[in-house]
Amino acid sequence: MSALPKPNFKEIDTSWKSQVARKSSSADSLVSFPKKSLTNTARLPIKKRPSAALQLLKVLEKGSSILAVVTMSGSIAVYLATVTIPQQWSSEYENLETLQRKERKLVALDEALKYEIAKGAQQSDLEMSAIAPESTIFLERAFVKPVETATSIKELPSVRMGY
Amino acid sequence: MATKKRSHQASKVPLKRKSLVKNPSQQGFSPVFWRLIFVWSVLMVSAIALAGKLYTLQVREIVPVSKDSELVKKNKNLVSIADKTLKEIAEGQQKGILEPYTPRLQIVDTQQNVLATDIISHKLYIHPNLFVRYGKKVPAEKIAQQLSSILETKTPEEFLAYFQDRKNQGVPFTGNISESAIKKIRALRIDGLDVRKQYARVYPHKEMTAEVIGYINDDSDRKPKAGVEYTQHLLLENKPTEHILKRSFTTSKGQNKPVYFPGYLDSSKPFLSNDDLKLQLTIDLGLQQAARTALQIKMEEYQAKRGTVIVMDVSDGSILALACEPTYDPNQYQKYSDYSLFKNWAVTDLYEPGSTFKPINVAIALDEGAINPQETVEDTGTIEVGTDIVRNHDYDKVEPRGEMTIPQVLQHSSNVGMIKLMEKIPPEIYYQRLKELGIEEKLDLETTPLSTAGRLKDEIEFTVREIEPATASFGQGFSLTPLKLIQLHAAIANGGKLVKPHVVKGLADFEGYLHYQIPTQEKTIFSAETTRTVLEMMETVVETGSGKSAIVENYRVAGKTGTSQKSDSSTGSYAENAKITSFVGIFPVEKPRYVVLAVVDEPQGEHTYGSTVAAPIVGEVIKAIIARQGIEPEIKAEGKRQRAEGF
Repeated sequence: MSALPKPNFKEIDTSWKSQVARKSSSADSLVSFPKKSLTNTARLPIKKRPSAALQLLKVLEKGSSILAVVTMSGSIAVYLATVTIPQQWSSEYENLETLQRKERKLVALDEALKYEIAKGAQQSDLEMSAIAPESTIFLERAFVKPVETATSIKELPSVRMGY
Repeated sequence: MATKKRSHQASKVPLKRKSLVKNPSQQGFSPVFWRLIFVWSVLMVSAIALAGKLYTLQVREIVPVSKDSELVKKNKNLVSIADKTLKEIAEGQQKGILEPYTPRLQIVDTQQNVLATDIISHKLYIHPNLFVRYGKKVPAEKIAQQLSSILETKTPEEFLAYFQDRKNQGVPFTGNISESAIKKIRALRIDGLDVRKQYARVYPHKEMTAEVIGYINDDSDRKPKAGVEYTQHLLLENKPTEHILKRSFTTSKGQNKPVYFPGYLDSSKPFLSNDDLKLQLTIDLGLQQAARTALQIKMEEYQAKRGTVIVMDVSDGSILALACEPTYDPNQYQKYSDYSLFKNWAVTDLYEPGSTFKPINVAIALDEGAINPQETVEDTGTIEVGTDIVRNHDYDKVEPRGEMTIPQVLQHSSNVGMIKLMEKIPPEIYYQRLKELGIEEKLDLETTPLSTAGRLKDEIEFTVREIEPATASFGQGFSLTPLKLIQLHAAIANGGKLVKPHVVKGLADFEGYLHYQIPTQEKTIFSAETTRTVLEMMETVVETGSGKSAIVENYRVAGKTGTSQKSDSSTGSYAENAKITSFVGIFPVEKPRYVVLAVVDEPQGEHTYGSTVAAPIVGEVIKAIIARQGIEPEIKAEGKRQRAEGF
């Protein structure tokens, strides 16, 4: 409930033209306020300044929130640094070791295979023969025609297009 | 009713909360506050006291176990914690040693074929006195049974006998242990079964390059014992690095896996100290195989004692192939009791080169201006030198040949002709020239540290006794290594430069780019004109003389055969039936690039000469070089013939 009295709308002309005319002459005629003394006028509540304890609590609340966020981030960072990263690092290191071991083993196996093939080639029943000059083909150097450099660009024959 | 009333009253009258602070009108705090402070203080003091005690216990106080106590003497497991603080014990448990993979450098040939590499192997060490599982002793019989079923190499009884033999203590259990067997052995959790990860050197091409590569001991010391492995140890060795850092364990798929904390790594120490460089040799594996096969065939045919084939690039002295027979498998070096196999006899043993030295003598005489290329000598078949008589090797079979040109002397390998040619140089100068060739100097090769210097007679003996320069003229009376001989022939081929033979090319990366190259050395011993003349004379030896077996169709090959007597150390004179046959070939004559030497020691049977035993080996090796290096044929047979007739 507003403390203001209701305006008397019955006395107001509905025609907007006359309204404008009247407005220009006197604004008071539009709305009539009951004339009351200033002592009876209702006042808006004045905002009280919160107590120092409340302010301290608010600061503490904000501070603790920030602290909570920082602590959470810190704990995640510490977790990453002390648990996840060492685990990942150790796992990758193990992978590296495995790959190095397998690479060397593969190299040794590959070379052993070459040796076995070379040994097998000496057995007559395999019918393998060593490379000999007779089985080598030497091609004569091909004659390379010097490349002619184009002196002028030939014009393309004009083609009549369909349109 | 009374209770109802009370509750009714309670609902109506709100409870008065006890305030920590007194009525604002009063000063100070309420007793409740002080009570809380008291409780808090007690708790805080207790917590601090506990923390303090914990700190003392964990960090300061020594575990009440002394090294000298009876408890430690009885239980050896307690030694590790005796006289230590809990902190020290914890640190000891939390620290792990990380040993990054630092293998010995690989050895590769010119085509990047791997000749020696490191692999990781697992070795089982068995300590029967420590057969304990979770602190309880396990009978050896049970372990023997379990090992027998896992390894399947010995019966349980054999394993028991193995445990009892003291020789086996501290020695790894031999035999191949598979990855699955390792897991099973580890799962037994027996203290006395120790599976250790070790590096093992593997030579995949087995005996093929053994005389060049050598081997390293198959134990934890990994000491090199022969070959390039020995001489290039500093280049090959990668000192193992280890990092001590914090470690914990995590369980993954039922297995305990270590988790290392990289933050504890020492940043001043590089984590991986090894690189991907390889020691590249000048050896061509394919050519080595061809040389060995050709040598083996002839050695088998003539039941020879030993033999060697060397292929050298005359431009810089790089050795493309060096095969010695018999040889060994470096993977199983322990099986060989004949230690002479581990030295490379082509570098260490001396022999009298015989006729293969004749072209060197001709070059000396030409260089000195004592003879000219058109010189002729009278071959009488036999010649009297001082009190001795020297004969041609075919004196019994062939009539004296009469007047001969220098190429003919070489073609027929006439001893008399050579004596007459070399007589034209004063013995002092001849001796001086022989010394300048560096015969008496050690000729090192990276295949062995035991190279031997050649031997010449004493200068006074050489100049005073007529027979000495006479025998030297056909390559006897002095000795050198096969390697020295090929070096001298390389000088004939390359225009007179004495190049340093070598098998190590340098350190190459995975793409084959050399990062370190061993510098080459050279010294001029003959003039280019002289060497050209001698080379063309040697070509006639292959075309029309004793070196026909080394002919390769459509290619120009120069060469010289050699069959020399062996001295018998027991009698001090030449042995009756022991001889060394050899052949040295240079090709292609028009642009000499390769020199090939084959030496076969003590071939058995009839017709064992350089021309029949060694020359075919060189011919085969030259064919392999042509095929592998793609050397174009140098046709015009007519042209060649004209040149041959010119002398």
